[in-house]
Amino acid sequence: MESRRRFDVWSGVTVMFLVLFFVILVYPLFEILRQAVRDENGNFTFVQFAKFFSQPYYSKTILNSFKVSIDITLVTLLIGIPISYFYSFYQLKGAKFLFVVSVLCCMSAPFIGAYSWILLLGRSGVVTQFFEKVLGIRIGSIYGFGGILLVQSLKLYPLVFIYMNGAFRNIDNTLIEASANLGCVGIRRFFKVIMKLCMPTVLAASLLVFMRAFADFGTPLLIGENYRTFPVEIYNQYLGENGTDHNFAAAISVIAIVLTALVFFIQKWATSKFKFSMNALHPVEKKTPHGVKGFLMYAYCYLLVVIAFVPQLYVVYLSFRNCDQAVFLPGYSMANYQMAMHKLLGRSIKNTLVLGFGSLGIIILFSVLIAYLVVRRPNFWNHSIDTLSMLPYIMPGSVIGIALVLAFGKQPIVLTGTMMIMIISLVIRRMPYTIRSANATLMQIPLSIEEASISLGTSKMKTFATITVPMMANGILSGAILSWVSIVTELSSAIILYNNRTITLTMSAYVAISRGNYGLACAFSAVLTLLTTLSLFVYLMLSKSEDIRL
Amino acid sequence: MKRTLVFVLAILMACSFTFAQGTQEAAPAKAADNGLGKHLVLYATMTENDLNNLLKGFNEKYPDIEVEVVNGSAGELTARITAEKNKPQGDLMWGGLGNSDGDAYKDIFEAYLSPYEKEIMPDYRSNNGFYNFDHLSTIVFCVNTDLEKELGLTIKGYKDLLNPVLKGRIVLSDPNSSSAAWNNLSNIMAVYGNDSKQAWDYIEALMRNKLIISTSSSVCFKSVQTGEYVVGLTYEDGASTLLKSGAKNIRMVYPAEGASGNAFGCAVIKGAPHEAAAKAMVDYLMSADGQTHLGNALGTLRFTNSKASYKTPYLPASSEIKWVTRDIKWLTENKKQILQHWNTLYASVNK
Amino acid sequence: MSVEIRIRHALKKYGAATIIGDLNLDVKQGEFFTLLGPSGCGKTTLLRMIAGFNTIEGGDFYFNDMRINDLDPAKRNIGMVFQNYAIFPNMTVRKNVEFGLKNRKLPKEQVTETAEKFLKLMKIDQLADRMPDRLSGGQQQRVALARALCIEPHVLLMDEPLSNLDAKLRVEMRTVIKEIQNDIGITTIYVTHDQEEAMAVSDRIAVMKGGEIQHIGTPKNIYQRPANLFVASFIGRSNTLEGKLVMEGGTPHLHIENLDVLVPNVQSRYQHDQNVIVSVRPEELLMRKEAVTGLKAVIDDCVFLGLNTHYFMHLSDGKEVESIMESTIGNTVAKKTEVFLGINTEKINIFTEDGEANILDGVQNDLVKH
Repeated sequence: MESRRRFDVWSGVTVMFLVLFFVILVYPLFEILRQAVRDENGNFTFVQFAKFFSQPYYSKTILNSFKVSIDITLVTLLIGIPISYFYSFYQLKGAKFLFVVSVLCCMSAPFIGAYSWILLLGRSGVVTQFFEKVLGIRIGSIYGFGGILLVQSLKLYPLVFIYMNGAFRNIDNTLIEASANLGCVGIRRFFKVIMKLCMPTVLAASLLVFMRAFADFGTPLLIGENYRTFPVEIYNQYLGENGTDHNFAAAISVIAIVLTALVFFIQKWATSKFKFSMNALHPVEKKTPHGVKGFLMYAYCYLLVVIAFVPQLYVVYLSFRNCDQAVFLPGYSMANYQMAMHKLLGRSIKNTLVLGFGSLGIIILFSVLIAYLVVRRPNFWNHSIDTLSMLPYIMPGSVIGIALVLAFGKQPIVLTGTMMIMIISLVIRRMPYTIRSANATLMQIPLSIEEASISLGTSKMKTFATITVPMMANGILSGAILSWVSIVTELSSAIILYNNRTITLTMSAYVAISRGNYGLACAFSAVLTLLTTLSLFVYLMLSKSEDIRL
Repeated sequence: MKRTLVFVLAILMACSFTFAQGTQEAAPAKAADNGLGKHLVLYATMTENDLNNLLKGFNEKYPDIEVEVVNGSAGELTARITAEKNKPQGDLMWGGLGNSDGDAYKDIFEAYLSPYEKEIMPDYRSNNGFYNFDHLSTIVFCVNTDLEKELGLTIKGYKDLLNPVLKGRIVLSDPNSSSAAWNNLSNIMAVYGNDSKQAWDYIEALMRNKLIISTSSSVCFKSVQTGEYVVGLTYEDGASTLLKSGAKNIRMVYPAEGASGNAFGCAVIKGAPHEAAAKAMVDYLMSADGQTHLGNALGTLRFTNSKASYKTPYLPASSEIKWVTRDIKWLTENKKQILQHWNTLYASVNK
Repeated sequence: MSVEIRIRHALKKYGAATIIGDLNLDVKQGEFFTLLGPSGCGKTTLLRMIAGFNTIEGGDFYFNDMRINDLDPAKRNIGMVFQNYAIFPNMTVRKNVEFGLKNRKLPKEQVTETAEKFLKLMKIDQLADRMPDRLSGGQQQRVALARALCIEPHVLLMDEPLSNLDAKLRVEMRTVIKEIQNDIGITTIYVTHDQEEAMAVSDRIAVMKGGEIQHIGTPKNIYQRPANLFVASFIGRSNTLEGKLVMEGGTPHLHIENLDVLVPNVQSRYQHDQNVIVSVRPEELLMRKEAVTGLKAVIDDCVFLGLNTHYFMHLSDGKEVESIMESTIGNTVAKKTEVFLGINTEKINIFTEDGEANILDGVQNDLVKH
């Protein structure tokens, strides 16, 4: 259907979104830009940028972030591709378990892993002590570069796992047979044929991992020690006691946006270079693993998954141990949970759920409407809305937090300290992913279905609500549940925007960690883990496929 | 199945909206018997121990006021208060506000001083008209005795921190956002001479001995106790609280070269939703009664009201410490420049 | 109530490109009218303009006396059947059929009753409670038809409804559609690119090319006396031969190579010497083994297909032609045999050199030029 020149209900929706996006996206972004080019007296200047690049103390953070992110990407590929290969081409017992647990690892709150590894491998960690006292081996420090690399690789490899599963699944068995026919089998075939076919997916996965690692806030905050990364620096600057720091923080934010945009465009360019389509008419037949090779396969897969998941389990275990501040004492009790109740456990849970469902509801509504505008009524304005909605892709979480504080901390709209500002932040952060997902879903629905409904006398809006949306429901819901998990574990903007009344489980856990109440932190983390695990199970029950759209 | 899920989801979202509205409205609870209201939101950098005891004492006097505490570092809290400037959520801040801040936070705090100002020891009276200095914080090294013995050391002062054996095992929080760290930095200035070459040479040497900067000030005593670090540059209150709760493997070392303290205090936030209650708490903290009560309950903190009388079993007697004096005025005027110097130095050492 | 449709000076533009320019059309009430043409000729575009899913850049569209240009598609009271059926996948067959009725705010019993009537009519009442994913293509198309018809629209619009079905089903379904349309008597506009289908179902056909209507007429008219070369080639099969019209003593003669035949039915205004193009359908190109005069040709191949035998030949100038003759008892003609072809002058069509006009009598083209 062509766009009508008349002003109808959908034109109204377009206007509404343009206004809304202007207020919650363009205005805060503009505020950051404005603050970035001023000094403390309000004069226009680039001195903030000069300060950043001239002092290695600051500019080094970008290098650090790049270095560690690239290494994380490589490691996740190294460990993720093999497990995905074994999972896709061989019949492994307990494969579903491996998959579910892997996904749980990557869905957990950002810092629980880091925190748990500190407890395990810190200087006085359980495993460290074990190695020292029993085996006499001194393990190096888990802090710094190594720690970030370990924690993040184990957390992000499931992304590679999931993506590569999809790619391997798409390989037609006849391709495998053809290559065997031509004398290419085993390892050689793996590299020459299979990996080449999966290149686009490898690229997509590695760039996703890179973006996540680069923008990660929670892990370096806790475990980075002197290895300072970019997102943490933004946060530190924002908190600094010197007056100019708001401007400096804004300047760094602008640099962050530019960098992220750069990586984003490189991703688009690289992906476009690999455009071919594969159709698996005959999915690959899985073989049963035998003998030594089989044993090694099982060992690798289970070891990897267990190591990756152990931190979360350890945290849950610790939550039941007695604890006095930072010291875990012998004996078990519910003391930590009782303390948590005093420390706003109830409110945290309530807020988490309210924010979660509230943001999710708004995001789904927006995504569905915007998908309709973009797919069914493409014109200049709707394309602008689509582009605007992608802005958050290039704004790291902390930047969004700062932008919202700058924009809505003053007249005419004052929202700081309220639930509203947290909902806005969450909507901004997760909206792009759900919009992309909704777009893809809607594009698969033929226009003729809507036209049929209209020809039978239904108005456009009613057609949309009663026909189109129910047909999109499946695709949207599966993406929604995963968005829910990442909303509930969000840290980098919450840390700037929250206060006592709007505190969430994630923030309660973080606050407990930073104040050295380890037992309390474990209790909050355990509840959070429970929540994400439950959500994931609901998702797996509803969706039949293992196609997780991230 | 899908339909029911969608239905349930919709209900939940509707509920969450009503809740979201509700929590916003929850704040202004006016009904009061004594005009002070029923709520108070306290932003504090103080330890668990300090806060628990304050609340206990305060609630004995004002049983109807429910106090909510938001914990954070000085930087975090002042940033939050500034962000909330146009719609304040907190009522007052306790801790982290030091006497070298000067006018830095004039915009966010109310110019309110308790009626007990004249009872405060002359050195610690308010120097900016809105900070009420109620307690002192003296810098101290928190040392892990087990590790100290293992390494065969006896740490007595700054000089000992330059021992290469301690490479990467000394921790300090970030002076840009932590008042405890700033406290320590100020002390180094006082000991070696404000902005002197010796002072900065010492700092550089300490940095070259892989001084670890932590994001949280509580790490500087808690993580020392758990063995993550050997020495933490921290403050009395934190370390002595650990001793009080039974830690056997740490000790407090006041640097032989000299130790000093800052006065820290509380202030009412401008536009506080529960201003009357906030003022009541400030008054409590500054009164001789309040400080006596709190002092005895804690035993880990020194206070500023000359009429307060309490015991500090976990702190050494003042006579045992070598004191140096700080030039508060100089520190106030040069804080920004000192921090910039610190940052640049740190960047060049950690290239 | 079924309507008549009038289109005057219809204009369709996409941006700067004109797809349909100055198109005029009349569809009679109750008529089964087909828009036929190759892909890209504009037939679907025109249909969707009538439906209201394409904008109308110029001209006037009337249902009876009502100008519908600015009317919302939902208000035009049309029934539309799509190529991919467009059955609502989340509703049963019955609910699909009832859908349009529900919008008309009719009492519940009437809705159920009417739906049931059309379910029976389309012979899918047994499937009433099935979900669409459990239906075959043909069954889905019946559902689509029932759904479109039960609201008793002014006009039924069908956009290549049978293209997605297999050959046998297509033949079966087109009979169903024609019968239903006849029973109900609703004005129908049908779009297809399959000329055999068009001829089987239509009362009249409009052959389109490049956004323009070439010929409007009954299937018989269009097949036997096509208005121009394009229509002749598009409908049925045709051998296109070059020839000359030569007036010999006031009578038109057709010369094709060595063949010279008398053509009695040339229109008077075309009776002069000129180059012409002749369209000879395979069944009009007579291949008789015993012929000794006629158009000289050499057999390339000979395919026995039961009732008929197809002869593939080439003429002296190399032009390839095809002839279809009823099969004879006896041996087929061997390859490379030289034969002589005759033509059935009654049935052939002769066009001007540019192929634009049929010079023979009897062309009936309802194309309205205003």
